[in-house]
Amino acid sequence: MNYTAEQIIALAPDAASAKAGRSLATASKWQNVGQDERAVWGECQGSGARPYQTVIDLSEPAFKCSCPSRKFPCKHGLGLFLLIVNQPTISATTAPAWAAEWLAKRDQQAQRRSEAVKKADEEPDEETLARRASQKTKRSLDREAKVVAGLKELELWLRDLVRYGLAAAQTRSFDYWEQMAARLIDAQARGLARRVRELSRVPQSGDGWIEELLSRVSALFLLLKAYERIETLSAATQADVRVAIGWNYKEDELPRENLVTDEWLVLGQRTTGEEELRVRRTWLWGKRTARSALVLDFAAPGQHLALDLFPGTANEAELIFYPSNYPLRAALKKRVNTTRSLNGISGYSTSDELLTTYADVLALNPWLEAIPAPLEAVVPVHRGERCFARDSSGRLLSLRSDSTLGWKLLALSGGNPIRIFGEWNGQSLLPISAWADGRHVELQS
Amino acid sequence: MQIWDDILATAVVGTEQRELKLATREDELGSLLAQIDHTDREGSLLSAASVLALYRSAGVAPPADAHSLPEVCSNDDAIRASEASGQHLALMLEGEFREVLPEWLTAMSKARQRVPEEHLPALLDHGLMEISLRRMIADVVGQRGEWLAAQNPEWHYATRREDKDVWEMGSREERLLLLEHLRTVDPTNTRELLTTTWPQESAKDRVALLEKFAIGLSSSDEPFLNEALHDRSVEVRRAVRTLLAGLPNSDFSRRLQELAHQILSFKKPLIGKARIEVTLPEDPIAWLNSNDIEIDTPPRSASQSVGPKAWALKEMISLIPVAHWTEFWKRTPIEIIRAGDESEWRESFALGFVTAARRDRDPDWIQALVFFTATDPKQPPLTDLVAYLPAARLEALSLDALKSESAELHSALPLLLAHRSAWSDQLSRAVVKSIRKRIGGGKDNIADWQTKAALKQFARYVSAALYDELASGWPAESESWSGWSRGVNAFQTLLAFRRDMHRAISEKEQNS
Repeated sequence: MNYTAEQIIALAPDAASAKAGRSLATASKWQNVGQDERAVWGECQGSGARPYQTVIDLSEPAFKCSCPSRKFPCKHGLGLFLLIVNQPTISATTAPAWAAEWLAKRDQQAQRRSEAVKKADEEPDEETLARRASQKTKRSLDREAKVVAGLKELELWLRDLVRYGLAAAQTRSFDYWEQMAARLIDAQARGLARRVRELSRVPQSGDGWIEELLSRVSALFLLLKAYERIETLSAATQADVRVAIGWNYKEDELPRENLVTDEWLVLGQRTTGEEELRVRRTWLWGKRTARSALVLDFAAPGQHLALDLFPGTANEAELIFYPSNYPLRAALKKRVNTTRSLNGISGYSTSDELLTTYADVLALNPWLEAIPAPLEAVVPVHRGERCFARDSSGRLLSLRSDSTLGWKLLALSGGNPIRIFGEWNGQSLLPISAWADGRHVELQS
Repeated sequence: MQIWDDILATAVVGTEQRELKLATREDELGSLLAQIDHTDREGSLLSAASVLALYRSAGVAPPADAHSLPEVCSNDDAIRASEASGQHLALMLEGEFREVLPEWLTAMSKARQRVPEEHLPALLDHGLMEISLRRMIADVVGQRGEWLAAQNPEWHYATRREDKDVWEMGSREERLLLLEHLRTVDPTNTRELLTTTWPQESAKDRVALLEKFAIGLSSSDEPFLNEALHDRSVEVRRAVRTLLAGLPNSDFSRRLQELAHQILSFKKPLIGKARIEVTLPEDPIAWLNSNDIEIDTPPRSASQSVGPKAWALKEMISLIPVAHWTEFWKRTPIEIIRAGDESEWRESFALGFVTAARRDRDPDWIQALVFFTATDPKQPPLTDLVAYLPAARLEALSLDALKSESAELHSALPLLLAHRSAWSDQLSRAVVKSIRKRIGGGKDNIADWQTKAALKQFARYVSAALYDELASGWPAESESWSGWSRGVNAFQTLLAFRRDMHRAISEKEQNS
């Protein structure tokens, strides 16, 4: 497919890299630039004596550069990518040895991977199976015991909290919340730990903080109670409880019946986390199945986020969903092709429709924090200091946006109804992208 | 709702202090709550709260808007700039290549393109700090930008406001910029606008406003200026004198010239050098005052080193257009400058001529003054004067300096540094050729670091259309290249950005 400069910029690990990449996107910085059907390569003169050799496998895309940067993709990769997008006239040649070598290595790796997958699909002998099963059982029993111990402590802590009254929460030190969160991390209950950590901000969040704190605290309690009687719950609800507490499903353990092939439209992306772990949330909408999906990508420092789903594109692809009473999270299994189009999406035409869906989803999974919300034909408006999306029936949905984002939405609409896509958390919408005047615009990048 | 309020009341003070009592309800919610074990004080509170929190969350109804919808923005004739142009803008607003933002704004406005909507808030915000760019920004935001700006008081500068309103209500900076703009397009009406508020302006503002009068100054301004010549503020009177001095046929100028003729004469003896002879009255300041010419009194700090006669002469020379002398004595500027230098009042002539030439922006005189000081080692150099030369003259002089084979680049450097507007193709080529030659051979000299530092500035003004020719072909194999590569890289990068930004604008123009 043809990439756009905006999509390439979105690959940058941070703003500084984006900037550096853009300033390298000029022909004068590069020598021996060439491309074939699959890849593009070039040499960029850096501060060292030898130029850096950069190659991009466009089929993924994937990057390789001889520079010492820990960032990925590095500025040379971004610069070269932007260069060929700006000047698509580079003539086709054969790859030089250094580029061809890397591409060949990638082919080998892909080959090995597919062999490994094939092997894994083959039935291992009974002995191996039994050994694996017993190891696995032991590991999961150990963890189960740890979690149970952590949950016990959390329950005591929650009970103390309400025994002495939530009013006291405002005077609690940072450590009060942090210690409980740390304890839950030790207990391998990361999901709970995150929820407890988030509690610490609530007492300072202004009006209505006590109601908010009570809602969150009681949701935690509900989760503990659900776990106590998890055997009595449906398999899908069991999965939701375990995910909320902090269990992860491995992608390769997901049942094959959860595969869904469709033309998936990429509605928007946002990345959270800065230093340690970056998480990118990509929201998809299946054109034929009329359902949403959320693909999560993680990148530790020095790693790059997957470069496969670009906002504003339609991807004929296979997704595999994680088990849930309301399955949203999915992993990309296989992509057949990609085009630039967002035709065929139908969002909520009124706030009523959105809220009815939200209520239904709460009944299915009360711990779900946000649902995808494409809003058709809403007008962004300022009311006082705050920004809202006004639907066709004149109702106001609160937008979680700083002032720049609010003005951006206003500018895109010009007072006309536009489509806004965002995450609805029951109270307000976090805008992620907008569709106005035939253009898709990302708002969180 | 009552149940939630009860739960909340208990939660706030704590179950230790207050027992939770729930009202019974005859509905599904009630039967759910009835299952709760009330002997467990904390557990029952948390359970009831979890049920109610979900119940409430599921029942949220967004408020109806109490206001009507905002007025819809009308459609725009101008085409939206391309995505690439939007990115160029975003990059500049982030601080990269920001120095070429004015060039980008001008090109956008010429191509009748408007900024993509999502970039409007950031651009309008930029204009808050960069007041000098406001007019250009307002030109490219389109209908949508104006519509948006009308809703944010900080951005009002980008809405179409009547000049009269800006004049009456704008900030000091806005008014000065408006006056500057209007003086370039319609000096006469501007003067009329100015007179509407003139008596109310503070002395400080009167001076600042008068300074803008140098733009488009003509004899039609004289009556207004003559009146202001009797302003109650010393600073205002000084500013008015400078303006009237710029009008060679003004009454003020003529009277001053008459007086100057009485005391100055150009003498060329048969043998020896020409000289301006000066016969000053005993108290020249009193003499001028008695002839209804006010001049500044010497500042206290200067009175130690400068006598009242030297001071008065310098003031007189500064207030007479330099072109007057060339015409009156039928001599070239350089002859007059030299003759002044032979006089016993040489310092008064030197300072006076420089002040007058700068005010008049007289290319011949500026050129002569620079030449005179550059060729005489006794004189302090006047290279900064070249900044007052018009672009065409800078262009021609630079080309001359670069043309002669023997000439070193550094002789053209002050001219090139002063030439801060688009260079012709010819000059662009000549400069790059000469820098390449400099890198290619010869020992390092003192001008080299200046040239290296200047490269990035040159990249702003060389012709971006010649990118291919100017960006490639640098002598990277030269021995001294390592010292130059950084500067040349900066040159190439900025030039490439300019080429890209113009290309993005013109491609959009062709495609629509």
